[in-house]
Amino acid sequence: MSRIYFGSINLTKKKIKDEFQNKKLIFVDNASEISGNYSIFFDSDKIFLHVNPNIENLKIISSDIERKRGVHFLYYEDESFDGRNSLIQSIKKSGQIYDVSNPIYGDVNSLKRHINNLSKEYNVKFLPEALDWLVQNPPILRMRLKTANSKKEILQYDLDLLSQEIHKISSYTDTIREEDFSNCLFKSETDIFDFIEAVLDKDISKVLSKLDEMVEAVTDQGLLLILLLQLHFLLVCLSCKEDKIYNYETVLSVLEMEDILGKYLSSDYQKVSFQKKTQNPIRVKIELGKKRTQSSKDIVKMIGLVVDTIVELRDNGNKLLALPILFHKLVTV
Amino acid sequence: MKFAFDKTQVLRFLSFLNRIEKSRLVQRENKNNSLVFFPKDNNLSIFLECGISGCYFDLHTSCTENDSFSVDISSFYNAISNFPVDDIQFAYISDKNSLIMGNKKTKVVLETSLVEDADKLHIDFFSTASEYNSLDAKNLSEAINNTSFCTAPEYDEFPYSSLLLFEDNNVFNSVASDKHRIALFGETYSEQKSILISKSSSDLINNVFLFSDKFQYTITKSKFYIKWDSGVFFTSCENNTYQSVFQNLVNFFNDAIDIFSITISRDELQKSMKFISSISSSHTVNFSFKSNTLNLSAVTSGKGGASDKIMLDVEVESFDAMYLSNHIIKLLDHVSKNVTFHFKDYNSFSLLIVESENTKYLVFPMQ
Repeated sequence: MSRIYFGSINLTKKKIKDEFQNKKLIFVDNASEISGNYSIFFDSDKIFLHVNPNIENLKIISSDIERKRGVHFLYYEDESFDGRNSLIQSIKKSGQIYDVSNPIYGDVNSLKRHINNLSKEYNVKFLPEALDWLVQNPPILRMRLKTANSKKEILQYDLDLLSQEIHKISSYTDTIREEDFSNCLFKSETDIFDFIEAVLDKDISKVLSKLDEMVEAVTDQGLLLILLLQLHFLLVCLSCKEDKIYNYETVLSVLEMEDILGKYLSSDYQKVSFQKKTQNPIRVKIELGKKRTQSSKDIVKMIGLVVDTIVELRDNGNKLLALPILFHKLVTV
Repeated sequence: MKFAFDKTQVLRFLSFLNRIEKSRLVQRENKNNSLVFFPKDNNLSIFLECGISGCYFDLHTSCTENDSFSVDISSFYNAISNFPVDDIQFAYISDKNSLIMGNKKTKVVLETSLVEDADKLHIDFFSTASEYNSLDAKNLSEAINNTSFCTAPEYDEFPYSSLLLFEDNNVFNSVASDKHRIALFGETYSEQKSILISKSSSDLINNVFLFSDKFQYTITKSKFYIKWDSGVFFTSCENNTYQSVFQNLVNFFNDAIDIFSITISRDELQKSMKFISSISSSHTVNFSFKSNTLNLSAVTSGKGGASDKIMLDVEVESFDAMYLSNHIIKLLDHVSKNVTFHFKDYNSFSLLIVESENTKYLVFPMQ
């Protein structure tokens, strides 16, 4: 049976090699090349991993699978593969889709764990300052993600790029220092969550330097609404912590409003239709593990300030004045 | 600069250089003139390299000056081969970048290019190697001829599109396989020093053997050099990191279990095979043995088929197997007149193994 892997190519490679130790893994860009030359005597110990196959290649792969010509797995960079294709549908039905995504940006512990694995793989040691530098300046990747009803973009750590860099550095040294990364041009993405973190850390210079970029990316209203959403998220997490609720599943159920949604009928005694807003459990775990200087009361004050600014901007307020004033006020809470 | 030669003496050299030029993978930018005329001490030589292979010929022709220049090999070869007379005179006019060739009646003018530092080019491509070993051309030619037809086409999967040559006790041996058949010439390949060359390179090597009867060779900087009294040829070796692929091929011969063996007349079988494959247009042919007959048949769905019977000298057990007809026909071109076919079992597949003189062939069955 075929499989689909999506996420990191290196993690996919490692996962397949661990599971099928006696098989040779062959990366395939063009299915027609291997299909025409397949031999049961030479290729039965191989696994063909088709990298981002298009519809034409999927037809060839599907025909090869039907004719029992080799083991064929599919690899996609993200989850954006076409679910209408019959081969992909049959793989989906049999539950053979494997998520080997990179860790989500912000999940520092996972990043450190992967760096540790890479250091073992390439037999190198990281000096503490090199590890700190990598955690502060990691390569970041923007990925498309399919959720139940919508598509969204998320930021992940680019482990494939990181692996390549560590592999290169390991060719000339076995102790990695901060200077070894001095020539690395890791792509950084402006992350709204990073921006909001700067607000909560009261780092006004960083906030003001990133403000124009954020407004350009998501507009002023968009920025304030996302900020509001994030403050609500923080409010729930902080309130739970203050009430000594540390179980992330309970916090998740409060965030997703499982206790309220669907409980009451409308004023006409009709069932209310609603859409559950799912939350990422990893984000909840990360947030619960963080130490905040703000209390839930501070967050309430901040929400009030943001709402006032939204109202002000909708009453013909000037965003060039309102936004810097808001962020100056927020960092003083 | 002036020179003259008899076209019958140089035509085969030019034909060979034209062939090398056609195997060029990357076209030069704004520069098609690849045939270099290289006069030195009033003696004229020519050379050409295409990035993968190259050849140098000493024409043993005197010339008046020592100006190097280059022309387009295709135009030059066309002009020379179609020239109505054999004796041709040449005049190179550097001011006008042109080469005039002809006699009193006929004249051809070809555009030329200046060659900067022809000496360095010649040294870089043809004088790199200093130490040469004597080469048994017959042995190398046999090694190539008996195995190169079993390689996959150039566009197919590497390294199956290439031929592995290795030397053992000053004798060349070779291995080739396109995953549907295997050819082993000479000794078994284990861990001897080896080179991997493409089929087109091996064809060029075979052609070189027409230029003399005494050759020397060397392998330097991933290039295989052949030198003779008036020329040097080189061809690039390919990335030889797949030795295990060629090393494991012998396992198919060793691990297969005998079913039966039968000696069949090559000519009779060849005639039947050609008849059946041309009539049926099927890629496969079915070998069906029953008592003292071999029934060869091929069927194309919706078009019909053809069959032919060959009487055998001995009785054999009933046996059926299907092979690619083109592979059997090509194999029969390379074996001796009365050849013994060994049918062997390998994991319930019927392999066909044929040994002829110094070569072992294996054909995998079709499912």
